[in-house]
Amino acid sequence: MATETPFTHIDPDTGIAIPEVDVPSQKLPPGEWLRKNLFNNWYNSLITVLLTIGVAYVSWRVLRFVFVTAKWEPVRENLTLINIGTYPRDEQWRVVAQVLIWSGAAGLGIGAAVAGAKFRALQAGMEYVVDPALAKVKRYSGLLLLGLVFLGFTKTFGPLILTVVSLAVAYALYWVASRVAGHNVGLLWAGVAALMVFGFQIVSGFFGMGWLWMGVPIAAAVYSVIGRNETIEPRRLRLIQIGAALGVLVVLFVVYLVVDSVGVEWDEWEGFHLNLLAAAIAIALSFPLGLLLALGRRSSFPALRIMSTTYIEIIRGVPLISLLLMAQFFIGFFLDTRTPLSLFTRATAAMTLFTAAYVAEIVRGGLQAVPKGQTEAGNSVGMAPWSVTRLIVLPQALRAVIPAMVGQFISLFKDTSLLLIIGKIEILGAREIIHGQEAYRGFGIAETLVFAAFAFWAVSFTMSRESQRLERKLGVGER
Amino acid sequence: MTSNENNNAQAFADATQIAGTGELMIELEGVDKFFGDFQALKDIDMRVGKQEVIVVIGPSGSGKSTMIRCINRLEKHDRGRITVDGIELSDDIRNIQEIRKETGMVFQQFNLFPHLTVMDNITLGPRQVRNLPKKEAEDLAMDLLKRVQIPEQARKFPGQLSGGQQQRVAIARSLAMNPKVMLFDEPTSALDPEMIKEVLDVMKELAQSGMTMIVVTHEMGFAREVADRVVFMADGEIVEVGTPEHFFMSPTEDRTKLFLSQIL
Repeated sequence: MATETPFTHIDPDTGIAIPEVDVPSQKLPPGEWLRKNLFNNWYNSLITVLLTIGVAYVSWRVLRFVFVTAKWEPVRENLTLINIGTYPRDEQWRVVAQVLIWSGAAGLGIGAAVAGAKFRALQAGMEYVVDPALAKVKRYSGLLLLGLVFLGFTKTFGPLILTVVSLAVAYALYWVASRVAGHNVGLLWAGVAALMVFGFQIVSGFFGMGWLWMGVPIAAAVYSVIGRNETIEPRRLRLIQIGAALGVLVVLFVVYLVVDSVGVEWDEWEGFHLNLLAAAIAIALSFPLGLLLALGRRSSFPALRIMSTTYIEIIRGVPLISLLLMAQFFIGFFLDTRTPLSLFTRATAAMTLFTAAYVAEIVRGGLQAVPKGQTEAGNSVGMAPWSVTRLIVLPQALRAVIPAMVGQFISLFKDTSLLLIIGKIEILGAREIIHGQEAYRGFGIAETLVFAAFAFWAVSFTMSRESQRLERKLGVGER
Repeated sequence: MTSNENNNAQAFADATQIAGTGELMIELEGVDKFFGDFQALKDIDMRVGKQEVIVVIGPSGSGKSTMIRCINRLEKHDRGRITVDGIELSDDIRNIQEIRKETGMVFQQFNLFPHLTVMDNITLGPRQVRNLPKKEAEDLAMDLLKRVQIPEQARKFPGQLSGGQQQRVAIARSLAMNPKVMLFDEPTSALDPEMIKEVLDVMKELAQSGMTMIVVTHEMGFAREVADRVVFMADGEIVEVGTPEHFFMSPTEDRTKLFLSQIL
């Protein structure tokens, strides 16, 4: 065994060292390969032939449908309806602004990841290697395809201009972020969070408690900047950090009290936009809730443990659709028939509560996978139990369960189509409006359905690819 | 204890006698430990003096590791008293943490935190527990890394280091808490032969600097060279205690003789 394991580089996204692996590459000439793998005996040859015929037939039928027989007019004529439903048309600029802002957030986020990886590679004395461009294209092929189809269907230049401008914004922010010095990466991430929330605010308008949403990432940024002080004692530093963050929230609360509400009610979000927003919010909220439930289930306080376990087991025992129907009717009866909560809020809450139970079980699996020696090592230096969990066990547990967690979130995203059943006009609901139109009554029903499925697939596939990449990268060089 | 007793090897036959400076550091009185029905420790009495180096040897399953894991409460003893530097171990978590702050521990499997750099592995304790500012903690960590001779590895992750380097980082991590006692639980058993020496060298330097140490090990050369007293355990009991000369040259107990004949 060598004294130093040869590590070649640090993964740009995860910051984990990748060991050098010698895989003997054995490339056969095509003829040889075919003979060896597909025609090595009579029954394999038979299976190969039959499967080829089957695949060819299905491909031919699919391609013929997509390019020849399908009537795409219902989709082509109703792209706006599919995307945002009946969202007020004179407020459409909000959606455009949101797309631009979130593109910026994506660019900034990727740049922050790159800057962080460069910094860690530099510190560990390793070479930083860039992902090949082709790998990125492959990873985002789902979204790229969806974008191309949209651009192919549209009859105006609007979407094309929007695409070009948002790509330009994303690239510009990526360029800036990837050149930021490593120890400022925390700030970049706070910026990403602020942009995400800002985009969310634009599309909903500045009404309600929206200002306070904005405050969270800003407060986080202030917290992280103060945390960089290297000379103040940690305990005092934490008090200053918390004080400053709370201060930010208080200031914004005052602004919220003073500024008038303007914008679009949450219940007016519709179309595929609604699917994306509902999923994004439910994902963002179910993760911390699930984390707390998982910790609660492992807690040494019996009350906390029993409550968490009961919650998890009850929620996992009922179908999501029943929770959504309860959100639609039951909560109304329960609180007040004129409940102040919008249907969107209630439905998203139901999806959040549902997913949190599953996230909790996934996280619990991760917690159990962290070796006992890690806790013992933390204990042996005198760290408090909560610090050991927070700083030693949780980071390792969460890394281990990223793939399972992303799987759960993909499932949540697809389940947003159930909003149709409680009367929300998400993408499938928009489809019903289309076929209610005089021109498309009973016309192109399969086509609109295929298109909606394709839109779901494009996003889910991208999420799944990202998770596979993380799984691959996280599986190595860790221990 | 008088000085002429000190020169007499037989004086150490009782585990409650101490060497070192003569001041008491660790005391175990009548300690029992059960795992279910299995009794892992049977009425253990031991006293360790300040700056004393105790090497504990014995066959596997004899309770060596369990004994030192009881001292910093990684295992809870069922009967008896354990006192470290005047603090008696109780169920109070603050009391336990006080003792853990004063006792560093080095594990067989290193147990470094794989998601943190070497630097962060070492500074985590001082920053969280001793409340040191980041800058001060990092200066301290660099000094310790120099002491264990791997300052150039500070920004690497544990997975990038060899076993010997990892164990030296683990020692530095314990020392960063400025402990009064160091417990070593078979620190070289998971290492490849060529890396054992570099870890033992660090431990020797530590012993010479006056650290109070209890070392569970199978390294007889280390025991002979560094130990003030050698403790032989079998079946959860302390069978024999003595200076290395007494222990290796003229052991009195049959079980000790049998064990030594098997390994030497």
